[in-house]
Amino acid sequence: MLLTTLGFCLSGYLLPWSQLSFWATTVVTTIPTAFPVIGDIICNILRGSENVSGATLNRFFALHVAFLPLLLVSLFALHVFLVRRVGISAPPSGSEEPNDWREFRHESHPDGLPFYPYFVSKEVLMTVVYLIIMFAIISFVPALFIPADANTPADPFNTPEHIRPEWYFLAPYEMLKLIPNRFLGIALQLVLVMVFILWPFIDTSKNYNILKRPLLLTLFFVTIVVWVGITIWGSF
Amino acid sequence: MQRRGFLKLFTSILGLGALGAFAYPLFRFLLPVESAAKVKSITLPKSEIPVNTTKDLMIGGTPSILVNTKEKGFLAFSKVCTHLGCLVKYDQERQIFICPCHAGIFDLEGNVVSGPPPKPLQKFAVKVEGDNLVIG
Repeated sequence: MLLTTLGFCLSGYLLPWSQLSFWATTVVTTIPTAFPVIGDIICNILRGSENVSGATLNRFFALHVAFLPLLLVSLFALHVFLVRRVGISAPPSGSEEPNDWREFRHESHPDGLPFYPYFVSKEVLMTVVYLIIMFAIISFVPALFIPADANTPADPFNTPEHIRPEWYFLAPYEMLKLIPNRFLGIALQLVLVMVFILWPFIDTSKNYNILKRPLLLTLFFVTIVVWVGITIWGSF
Repeated sequence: MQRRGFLKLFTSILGLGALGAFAYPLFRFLLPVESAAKVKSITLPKSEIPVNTTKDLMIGGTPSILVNTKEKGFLAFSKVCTHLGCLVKYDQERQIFICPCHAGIFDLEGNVVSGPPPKPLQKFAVKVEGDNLVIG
């Protein structure tokens, strides 16, 4: 769901057709070309033409309003299903016993709360709070999160000076700058994403409590510190 | 044929037809469009590019730059950085090309000086024919 949200950020970024969005999309759609044979094909399919053009805008719009919402809703449904079927991970300080793979049954958990209406109402409350904040920003301070360059119309013949992505993509951006080999720079990031996605399957330890796993805890903090550090570095 | 078998076959065919009716436009939509015919070479009067100046051009659908230097004469390169496709800028003072996206630097021959680009800039042939230049 996080990656799908980043997909929303990326596909929606092109839609204003500004200098920032045009060149960000050019960079992102060029990334697959680092891989031999299929790279150029993927790049062409993503763009819909040789360069970022109206065809790219067309398919990114479709991605943004048709494909990704469907995907996100499906993932959300799967998430709720798994919460019901498997249960929620215990916090590190909580029980060390992993949850059994069983469906929630009020009869066997008389002290439990059913998902509806208790948790649904919490979700709805948070959604309403988010919508209030979002519409307040859109109505009263629409330029709060919009950099000045975002209003410059796209110019396919001029890459703006000191172009940088949004803060959440600064770390991958800086890594691409730092790693001298294009293939390695991109492949490393793909591997990191795959490890992130597959972590529940990779980590087979019986001990769920990260506070009692010093190596994993250290790795976690080092990753966070490195990621934040590279993000800050990328902003200069 | 049994009625059950016939219905299975019939609904399968209908289902496949419906799937095809959905998949074909999707396939057509995803198919990259053919680019328009490209100009392979450009002819320009030499007088348009005095020494120590540059001119932006489109050669074969690629944003390109023509540089006229005192030492090396006329040089033409694709402006597309070989790293991730941003357009390089020419630094007249240092006589290098700099990519504003990931700080790739190329020399006046188009070779990578520093940064992550994997290969040199694409170079175009420049021929002097009388008072004209033929690029590409």
